[in-house]
Amino acid sequence: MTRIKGARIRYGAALAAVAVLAGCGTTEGTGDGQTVATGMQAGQLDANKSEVRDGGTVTYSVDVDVKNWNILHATGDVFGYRQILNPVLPHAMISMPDFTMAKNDALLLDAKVVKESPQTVEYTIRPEATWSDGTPITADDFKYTWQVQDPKQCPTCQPATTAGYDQVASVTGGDGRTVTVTFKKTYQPWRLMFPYLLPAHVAAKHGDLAASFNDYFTTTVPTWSGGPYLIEQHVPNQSVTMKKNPTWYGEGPRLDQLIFRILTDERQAVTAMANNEIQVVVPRPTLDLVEQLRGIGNVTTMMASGLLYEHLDVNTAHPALSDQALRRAIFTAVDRQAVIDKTIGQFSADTKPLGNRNFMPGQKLEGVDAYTDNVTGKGLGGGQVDAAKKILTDAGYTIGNDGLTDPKGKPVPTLRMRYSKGNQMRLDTSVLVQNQLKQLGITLQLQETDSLGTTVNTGDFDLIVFGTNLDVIPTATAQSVFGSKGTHTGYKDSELDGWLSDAAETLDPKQVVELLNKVDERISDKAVTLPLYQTPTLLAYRNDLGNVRVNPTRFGTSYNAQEWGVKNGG
Amino acid sequence: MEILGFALRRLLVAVPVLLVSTFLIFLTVAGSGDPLTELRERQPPVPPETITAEEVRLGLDQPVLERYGDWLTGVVRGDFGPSVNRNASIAVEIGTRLGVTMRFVLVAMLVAAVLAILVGVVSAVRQYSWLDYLFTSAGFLFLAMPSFWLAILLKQGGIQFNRATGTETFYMIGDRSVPPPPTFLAQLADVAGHMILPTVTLVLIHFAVWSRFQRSSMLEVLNSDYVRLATAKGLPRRTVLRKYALRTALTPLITVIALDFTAVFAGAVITETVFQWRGMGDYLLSSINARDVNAVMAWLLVAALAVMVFNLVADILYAALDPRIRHVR
Repeated sequence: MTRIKGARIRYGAALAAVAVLAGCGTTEGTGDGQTVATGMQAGQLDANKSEVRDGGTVTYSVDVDVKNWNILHATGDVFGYRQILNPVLPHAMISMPDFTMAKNDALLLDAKVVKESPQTVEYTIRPEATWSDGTPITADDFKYTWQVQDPKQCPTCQPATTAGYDQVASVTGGDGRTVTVTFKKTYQPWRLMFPYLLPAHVAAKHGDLAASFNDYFTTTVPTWSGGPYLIEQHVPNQSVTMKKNPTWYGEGPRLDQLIFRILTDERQAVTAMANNEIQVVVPRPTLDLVEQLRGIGNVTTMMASGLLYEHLDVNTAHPALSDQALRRAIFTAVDRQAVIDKTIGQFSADTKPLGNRNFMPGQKLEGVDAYTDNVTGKGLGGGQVDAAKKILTDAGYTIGNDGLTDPKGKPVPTLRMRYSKGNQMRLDTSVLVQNQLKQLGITLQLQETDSLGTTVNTGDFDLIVFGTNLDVIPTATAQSVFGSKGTHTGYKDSELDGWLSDAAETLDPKQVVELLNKVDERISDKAVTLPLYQTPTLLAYRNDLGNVRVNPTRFGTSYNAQEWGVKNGG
Repeated sequence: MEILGFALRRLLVAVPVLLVSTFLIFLTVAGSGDPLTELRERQPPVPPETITAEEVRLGLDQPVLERYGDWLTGVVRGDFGPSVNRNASIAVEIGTRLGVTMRFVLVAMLVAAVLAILVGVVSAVRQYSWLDYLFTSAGFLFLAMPSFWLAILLKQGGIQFNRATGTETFYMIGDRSVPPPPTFLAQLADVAGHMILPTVTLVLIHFAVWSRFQRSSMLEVLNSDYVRLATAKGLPRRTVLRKYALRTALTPLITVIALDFTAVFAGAVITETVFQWRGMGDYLLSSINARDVNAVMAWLLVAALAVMVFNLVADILYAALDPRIRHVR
């Protein structure tokens, strides 16, 4: 066994002190041998690109054990599960570290729109692509994967999402290797579809669509594979061990064994990395954890900005907050850089305030630059208290010793600011905003919520801070967040709805970018939500591993597990 | 027969206590939050029909009193109810995890008890000697240490040892390596390597308390009239210590150890977290995080039963050793 346990770790007394001090909430790192991405950029496609040799074992720690093996199922769509099943399931499309959606070259020869009306997409599967039992991967697998996610085809199936699949009119396959997907009406984010395929021939042996999808695939550890690795053993609550899939049709895989070790407390990753019991970890970044991981000599840490961003939202249905002037003054007074400096900036010093709600800095949509700062230039989020006061006084408000009084002479009531229970970062953000708004005579009462989804969806807040996870193609998310049907802020705008519908139904990326930026600008003008900052994704891995890199999209770091290996000479 | 009657009386008293405690705990956990929060927060949104189906599966569409009634009748039939983790069986999880926890808790209790008796007796017999001062200082040091801190220190020591010797003697996570070593002997060494540090953590914490207890108990007995009389009659010192003093001085310690079982069980929550053992402590924490009411209830039921059983054992031991107790009405 060529397990990566070469020379024992250089692990100085400094780290011992660090970890001990961590118990008291203080850290100090040595910083040896670290490579930390500077600034908050998207992930890089060629980060840690290396020549690797065959053989070896790598252990990647994840924070959950798989309790549902069907990641297309509502309760199976979990980041940790995706990490484990990425190397097992075949993908038509993959979200890449640079926020693009690319076809999976190992599986497909081509994926393109062949007809615009009705929109028809054609996928060409490589002739050598098969499941591990030798059954070819065909249009049947696409058809089954569509049907179980389309409520019309399978009303009792419980998929994580129906987005796009409910717009499909038919999935057909002429020679089995050419898949033709015809849409009822134009569906712009078609590239987001079919990230995972399920084996139709296996499903056929286990009942109807609902029975195979809701029961069989959720409860059964896959003995089959359409990816580079095959599950060899699952020890509940402990680990998933994989070996090479002998019928894998792409390049690689290079490792003999890929092990996923369940580590429910990410803080323990530090000693486990230091003792070489795990070699890859993607923990939620905290100041202590980042410093401690950086302190291990032969471990590389990488951080990249992700598609998850934090924002401050206002409930426009609130009697006082229905006034745009008050909302604008609030967002003008909020100092986002101060919030960043006191929270995420402590371990991610180059984080800048975010200027868009639909696109992240550096993001391109099919080659078109998508990110524009629609926030800062409008005077929002810059902590300009005097400008905020002027907005209020111009609108007829009075700022007195007893607080803020509206133009009709009524005091502006105390506003409820909600944040997620147990989320220190959001509590800190709320406290900072509370202090910043005091200068305008606005009093915030902080209230935690242990059911963020319910609080947001029912509009049970005056102001709220939380995060939104965007897709690499954000049209559907934008529609569900800012469209009149899905709005949680109470803000409804028929013109904006039109832009969103147009964006969802046009295939021209330039037009989509323009439309979504118009939506974003309107939300800024109306002061409905204020984007704060992107949340970074952290990765730590042993120095001798090649091709392990941050992928801050839904696919995560294991998106290219077949390329992982021990560097030549490592 | 007297002891049996005593035990039955204690059991009868425990049943209503258990019922009331499960009801209160059910209300508390059920009111602590929505287990479907994560599903409701997803982007893109999960279809509402799917969320409704989950609510029905977990019984969240029922009033809380009805849910408690369902849970109680289920438990009587041996069914702990559905878990938030769709495919997880609570009974299977509890069964597996109880075995993992008991493995190191029982070993830790045994080692801690033996050490505590030895150290307590030596400290008492050689009161105010350098040995007594050494054991007393060590005892207070471990008493003052939070278990998580001690565990972290031991982990650092383990890493340093591995590094210095170039071996893989100690492990930081889990109860065995993945994949397991190829030979039986290597597997034994592997299991021991995973078990030493968490067990030592629990041993040191509890040995400290129990050794202080044993010392004072032994001192009290050594100064009693009947021991002084035995010594005055010219019995050998070893006989006096072993047959007269130690036997009597052990009685209160045995009771304390039985009662302390639950404290060791609770202390294992922290130790299991730091060493990532998939035992009962880990299950409790993950169930609380997932707001999995049925799983938390099952855990608490097992813990409550353990408290009852060990309290009963303590009572019976005490009653067996002290006739005054069993004649109390």
